[in-house]
Amino acid sequence: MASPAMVTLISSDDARFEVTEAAATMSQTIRHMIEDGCTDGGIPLPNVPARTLAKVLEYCNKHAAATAAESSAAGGAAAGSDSGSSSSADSAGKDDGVDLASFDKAFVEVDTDTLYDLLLAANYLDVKTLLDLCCQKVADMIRGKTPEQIRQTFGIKNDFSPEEEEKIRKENQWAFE
Amino acid sequence: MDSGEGTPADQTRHAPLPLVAAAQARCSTRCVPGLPAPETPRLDDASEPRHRPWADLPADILGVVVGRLALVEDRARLRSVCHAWRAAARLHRRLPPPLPLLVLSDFSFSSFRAEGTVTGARLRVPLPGSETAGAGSVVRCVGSFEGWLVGVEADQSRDIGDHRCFLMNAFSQDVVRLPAPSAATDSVDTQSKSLSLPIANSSGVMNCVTNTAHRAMSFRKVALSSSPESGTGCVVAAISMAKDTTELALWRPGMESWCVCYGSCVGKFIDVIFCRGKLYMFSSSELTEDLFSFELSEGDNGGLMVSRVERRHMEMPGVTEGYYQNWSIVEWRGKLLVVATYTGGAEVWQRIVEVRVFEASLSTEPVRFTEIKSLDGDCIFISPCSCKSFRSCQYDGVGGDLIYFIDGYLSADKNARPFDKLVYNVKDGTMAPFAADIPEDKLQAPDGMLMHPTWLFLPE
Repeated sequence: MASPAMVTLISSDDARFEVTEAAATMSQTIRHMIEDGCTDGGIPLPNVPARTLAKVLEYCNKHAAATAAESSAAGGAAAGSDSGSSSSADSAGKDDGVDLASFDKAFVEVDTDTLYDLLLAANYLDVKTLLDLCCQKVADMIRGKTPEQIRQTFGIKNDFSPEEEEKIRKENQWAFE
Repeated sequence: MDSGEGTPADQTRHAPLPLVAAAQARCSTRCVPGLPAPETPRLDDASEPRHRPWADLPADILGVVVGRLALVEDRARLRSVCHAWRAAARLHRRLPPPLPLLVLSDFSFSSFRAEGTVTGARLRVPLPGSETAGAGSVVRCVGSFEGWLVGVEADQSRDIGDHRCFLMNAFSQDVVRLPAPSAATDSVDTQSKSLSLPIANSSGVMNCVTNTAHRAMSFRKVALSSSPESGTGCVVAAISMAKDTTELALWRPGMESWCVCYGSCVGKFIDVIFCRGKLYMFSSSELTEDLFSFELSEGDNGGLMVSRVERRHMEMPGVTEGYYQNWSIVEWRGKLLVVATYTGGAEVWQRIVEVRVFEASLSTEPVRFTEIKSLDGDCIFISPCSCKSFRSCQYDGVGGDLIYFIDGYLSADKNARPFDKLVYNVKDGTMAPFAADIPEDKLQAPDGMLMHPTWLFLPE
C-alpha cells in the first residue's frame, strides 16, 4: 500500500504537524492553499496555536480515517474482490458510524476556553462539520438557561444599563415561564 | 515568549510537548522529525487571557448557534445576554426560524418543548392597553403572519358581528388598526362603491362593495399577504361568516373600509390563501368544489380593486364511502398543497382515520390534484386560522416530513366535534397524538363555541 500524501502544518507558535492530505483538506482553507501550491516548507496557520491545532487535527484524522474506511468498504464490495477482507472492512465501516458519533460527543466535552478556541479555529480553517459540532455544543449549553445563567456559563459581563434591561425584559417577558 | 528572537528550531521548542505527543499517539499526527522536544513551559497559558472573550464571538459563529436553538424563548434569552450578542443575533445569515407558538383565540399560548411536545396554554400574549376588550366584549385571535396576530372584538350584547379589528406585533406590541368589520346601518353612505364583476370561466358574478354603510361581518380567519411593515404591499383577506352569509373581505393600508366580496357562487365552506402573489379562495357547497383566483389592482385613492376573478372546478380525489373529508390549504415551496383529513367510524365524535396530501395544479381546468408522499424533510403546521410549511430543520424532537395538526372547521358551531390534535408522518403514514397537554376546555369559549387556534410563526 502506497504511503498517503502528507502535508506539514505550522501553528501560530511554530509547532509543525505532519498530517495526511486527506485529514488536512477537511479544512477548506488548507485545501485552497494546497490547490494554490503554497505548501513548500509547510503551511503556516498564523491564527491557530499548537494546542488548538492538535485538537482540530485529532478531529480531522478521525473523520478522514472513517471516510476512507467507508469508501474502501464500498469499493471492495463493488469490486467483489477478496470477499473475506471486504466483509471485514464493511463491518468496520458500520462500527465507525456509531464510533464517530460517540467520538464527536466526547470530543466537545471540554472546558469553555477550549471550546472557544475550537470554534474560532474551525471557523478560520473552515471545517464545516467541526464548526457545526461546536456550535451545537454551545447551543446545548444555552438551552433552557436564563440570560444570567448563560453569562455565568461563558463568563460574560452584563453590559446592559438597568433601563435597557427593563426594556428587554418587557419585550420578552410574555414568552418566558 | 521567553526566548525572544530565535531560530525556527528554537521557536518550535515552544510547542507544548505533551499535547503534540498526545496527538501523535492518538491520531498519527507527528512533529516533523529532527526537532528536539524542549521543556519550555506552555506558551498558551502565558500569552492568552484566562477566560476567552465569549461576548466577542464572531457574529457568523453566533448565527450558527442561534440556528441550533429551536425555541423562541431560548433565542430571546440569548439576545438578552449582552450588547454584542444582541447585535450579533440580529445580524446573522438566514436561519431556520424558531418553532411556532400555538396561540388560542383568547391569546393564551402553548410553546414547543425541546423534545417536541407542547406545553399547556398557561401564558398569554399580552394585549396592548389600548386594545383590551371593552365591557361585555371579548377580543379573539383569528389569524397570524410572522410576528403579527390578528385580533377582532365582537360586541356580544348586540350580536351584530365584530366591531373592531386590529393587527398586533406580539413582540413589539405595535398595533395597526383596521376598519371595523361591522358598521352601524344609519351612517351616511355617500362613498359606497359597488362593482359586479363577471367571473371568468364561468357564469355568475362576484359583487365587490367598498364603503358600504351596511355591514355585519364576523371574522373567522384572517390571512395576510405580507408583513404590515411592508406598507401598501400588504393585503389582508378575511373570511366572514355571519348569519349564514359567507363573505370575503379585503383590505390594504390606506383604505378606510373593507372591500367585501360576495355572490351566490361562494360556497358555505371556504378558505383563502396567498400563494405566489395571488389570492386563492377555495369554495365548497353541496354541488361544486371550486377554486377562485383573484387579481387585485390599485383602486381609487390608493385603495384596492378586484380586477378579475376566475373560477375553476376542482377534481377532488374520491372519498371512501362513509368518510367525510376536511381540507387545509398550505403553501409549500411555491406550490399549493391540500392536506385532506378523513373522518369516519361509528363513534359519536368521529376521529381522523386517514390523511392525504395533494399538490394542486393551478394551471389546469379542472384543477387536478396529485398525491405526494414526501415533504423533502420539511414540516407543515396546520390550524384552522393559519397554516404554514416549515423549512427542514435539525431541531431536537421535531422530525422532518411531519404535519402538526390542530384540525377543525372555520364554520364550527356549538355542536361541532372537538379539534383533532395529532402529528402525521407523511412518509410512513403514521399518526401520533400531539398537544395532549392542552385541555379540551381551553379550546372552547365560555359559551361552548370552539375557539380556533392559530400557529404564530416568529421571524428571526
